[in-house]
Amino acid sequence: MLAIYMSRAYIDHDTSRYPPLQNSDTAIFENASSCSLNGRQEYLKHKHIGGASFQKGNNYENRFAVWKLAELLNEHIDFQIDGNVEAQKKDFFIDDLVIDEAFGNFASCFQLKNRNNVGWGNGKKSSLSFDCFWQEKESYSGQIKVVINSSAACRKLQSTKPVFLSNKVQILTFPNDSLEDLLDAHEMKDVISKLCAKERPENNLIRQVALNLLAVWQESNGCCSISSLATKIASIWPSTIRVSVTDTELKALKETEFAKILSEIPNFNFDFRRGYFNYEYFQTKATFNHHVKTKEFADLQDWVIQNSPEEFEDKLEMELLRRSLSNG
Amino acid sequence: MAEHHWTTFATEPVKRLVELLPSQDINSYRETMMSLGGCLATTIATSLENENNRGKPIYIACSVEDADFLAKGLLTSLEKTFSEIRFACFWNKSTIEPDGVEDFEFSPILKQYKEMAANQECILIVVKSIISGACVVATNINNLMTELNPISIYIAAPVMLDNADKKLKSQFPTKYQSRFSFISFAIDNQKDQNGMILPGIGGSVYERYGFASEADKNIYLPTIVKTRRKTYAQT
Repeated sequence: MLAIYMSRAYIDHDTSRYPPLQNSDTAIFENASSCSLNGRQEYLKHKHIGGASFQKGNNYENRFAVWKLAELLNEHIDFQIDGNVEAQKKDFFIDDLVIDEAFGNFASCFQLKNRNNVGWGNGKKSSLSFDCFWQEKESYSGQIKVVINSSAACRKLQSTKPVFLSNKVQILTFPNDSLEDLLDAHEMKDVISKLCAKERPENNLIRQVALNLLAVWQESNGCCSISSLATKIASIWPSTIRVSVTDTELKALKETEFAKILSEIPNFNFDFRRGYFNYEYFQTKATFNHHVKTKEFADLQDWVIQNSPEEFEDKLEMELLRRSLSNG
Repeated sequence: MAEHHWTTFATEPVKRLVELLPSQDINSYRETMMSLGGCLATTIATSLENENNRGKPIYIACSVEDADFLAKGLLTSLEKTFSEIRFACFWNKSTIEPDGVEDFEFSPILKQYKEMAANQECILIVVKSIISGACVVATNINNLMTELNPISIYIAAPVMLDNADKKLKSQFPTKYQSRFSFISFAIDNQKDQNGMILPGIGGSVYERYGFASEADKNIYLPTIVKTRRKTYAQT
C-alpha cells in the first residue's frame, strides 16, 4: 500500500497532525488543503448568504435539533450549564447545528444530510471533505459530526472516509422519521422522558415536550441559549419540563406541615419528584401545574394548612384543580 | 346554510336526534347526547361482531364534559353485551398552539381517571361529542397507549369535521395508524369565524351541557367517575 505524507499544496497547516494518506485520499487532501485563507473566507461568506438558511417547521433538521436540545436541557437542569445552540452558524464550515463549547462533551458541530447519495466529494469547496477538513482546523473545541438518515448510507460514508479525517469526524445516523415515529422507537424518547415534569411520563407528555422544543426552537429562528429555552417552555405550559430539586429540598418538603396533613388522608398518595407535586387517589392522578418553588405552590400549602382537609374527594380535589389552573 | 353530510351509520332516528341538538335546553341536550352515545355503541358493537372482536376486553375513554352524558350512554349500552369494560376520563386544558403553529398544538391533561386494564390488548373506544382539531382526542389516546396496546381504536363522535380523521392519525407512529376506525353520524365541513363547526352539535359543547366555562368543566367531578371510583375502592 502506498502511503505518502503530503508535503505541498497546502498553505497553513501542519502535516504531522495527519495520518499517512492512501492513494485515493491524496487528491482530496490536496484539493482541500490548497484553499487559501482568502478563498476560505470568500467561501464562508457565500455559504451563509446563498446557502441553507434556518427553515421553520417540523423537518429533519429541527427534529434532530429537538433531540440535541433535550440532551442539553437535561445537562442544564442537572449541572446548571448554559450556552448557545445555533443553526447555520456563521463562520463555521460544519454549520447545520453548533453546540456551545461550554457543554463540554456535548459540544459538537453537525452537518446534516437528509439524503442517501452522500459522499465525501473531491476535497474542493462545497464538498463534505472540504468542510470537515477546514472545520477541524478551526479553534472550536467541539466534535465534528456528520449526520445521515440511514444506516446503509452511514456505513458507506464510514467505509469511504478519507484517512486524514478518520479520527476527527464522526458519522451518525438519525432517521428521517416523523416526530411520532421517533418518539416511539428512537433513543430521543428516553432523553425527552428524562426531561419531563414527572417520572415515568405518559406518551402525551413526552410528545408535548417535543412539540414545545420544536416550537421554541422555531420561534428563536434557530439560535437560543438553553436557559432561555427552559424559560420559554415553562411559559407555554408550566408542568412540562422538570425543575431541579436537591435531595435536601425534597426531604424538607416531605417534612412540611402541608405534607403531614396530606399524608393523613386515606388512600391519598403524593410525591415531589422532578420538582412537581404529583398526587394520586384511586386511579385518579394529576400533577399540580406549578412547581414546588412557585408562589402558587406556596399558596396551596397555606390553603391546606388552614383548611386541614381530611378527605380527597370534592373540596381538596376541586381546590387542587382550581389552583392548578390559576396564574398567581 | 350549512348542512350535515350524513354517513352510512346515520339511520333516520339518529339523524333526528342529531338535528334536535341545536334547539334543546340543557337537560334535553344532555339526554339526547346520552341517546346518541347509545346509538354509537350499537354501531360499534356491530362492527366488533363483524370483525370477530366480540370477546375482547374494551376500554372506553372520554373527556370530562362528555362523561355523564354521551360517554355514559355509550358505556351503559355496551355493558349490556360486553362484560369486560374499563373506563378512563380526562380533564384537558383547551388546545395550546405554541408560536401560533397548528402543527405544534397540544392539550395538557390536568387530571386523569384511568381504571387499570386487565389486558393491554384491548379494543379502545374514544368517545367525544364533536371532533374538530382532534388534538384533545390524540392527547388522551397517546396517554392511554403508554399502558395499553389496543388492537383496534374506535373514534366515536356524533359529528366530525371533514379530514379530522387524517389529522388525528398523523399524530401517531406509523405502525398504529391502521388500527383506527372512525364512527360518526355526520361529517361537517364548515366553520364560523370563531372556529365553531356548522351545523355541528349546536354550538359550544361546554355551554350546551351547562358548564359556565372551560375552567368550570375542569373542576367538575362526573358522577360516573365518582361511582366507579367508589366501586373500585370497595373491591
